[in-house]
Amino acid sequence: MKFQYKVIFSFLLGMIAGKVINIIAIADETIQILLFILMFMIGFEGGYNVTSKEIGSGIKKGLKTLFVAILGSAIAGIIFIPFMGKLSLISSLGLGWYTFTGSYLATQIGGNAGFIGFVVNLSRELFGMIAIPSLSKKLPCYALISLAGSPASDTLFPFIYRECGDISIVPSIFQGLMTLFTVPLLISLVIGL
Amino acid sequence: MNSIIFVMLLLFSVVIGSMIGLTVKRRGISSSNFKGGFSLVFELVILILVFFIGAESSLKLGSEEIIQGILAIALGVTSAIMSSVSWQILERGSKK
Repeated sequence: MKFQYKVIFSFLLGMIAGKVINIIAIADETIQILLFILMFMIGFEGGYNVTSKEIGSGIKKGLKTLFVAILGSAIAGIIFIPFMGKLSLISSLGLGWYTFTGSYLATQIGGNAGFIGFVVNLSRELFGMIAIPSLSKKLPCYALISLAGSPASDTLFPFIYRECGDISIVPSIFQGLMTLFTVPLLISLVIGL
Repeated sequence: MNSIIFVMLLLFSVVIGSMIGLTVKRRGISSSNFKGGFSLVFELVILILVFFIGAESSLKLGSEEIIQGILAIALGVTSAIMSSVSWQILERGSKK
């Protein structure tokens, strides 16, 4: 079975399990622990294979992928302005960071905006889980990192790493880290416009 | 958990992992000794992770507001696609 089918199957199974069994109480903590395990494993592989020269060029690539992720998201947000108003641009600039965007918009604009911000960014992350394994043969690795947006350094990082290998480690982590600073800044700037 | 602390802890995991990886490499242990098992565990952990994300999403996306969110989903997917398309356009432009 192809990896992306396994991913879809696991996700659907999780959704059903979430409705039937009360595993939601432990889901959040388990996700965090699994992410730590994955990061440790990726760090191990990186320490074994990545050279110091690759770190420098990786940071440059990470800056470029971040810029492109912001650009692409802004274009998508502008396209949706006729349907959703300025909220589309604000939400799309969350770059997939749904926990922040959802809660921030809920406090700054209102509950409905928070919901939209949450769904826009969660769907981006879920789409990345399917798109990254599916499009890895057609798109260059750096385009996949831009596609991932903010989760490039956490939930989508294992997916990127699985398809792209060691060259993706530094740009993905760097892009994800930088979004911690750029997303709050961009969203509050656009809200203020 | 505060998201900044969380990301810092994730980075700390990467650093610890890379230090161990570097030590293993310096000791001359061949990657063929652990490559197969490593890939299997890696894939398994991803699938369990996705399972729990699905479980969490079922709670958050299970409300009636999902109908209102269809447009939001379309925007999320378009943002991702536009980001990757922008990369290709800029990459082609810089090669010319």
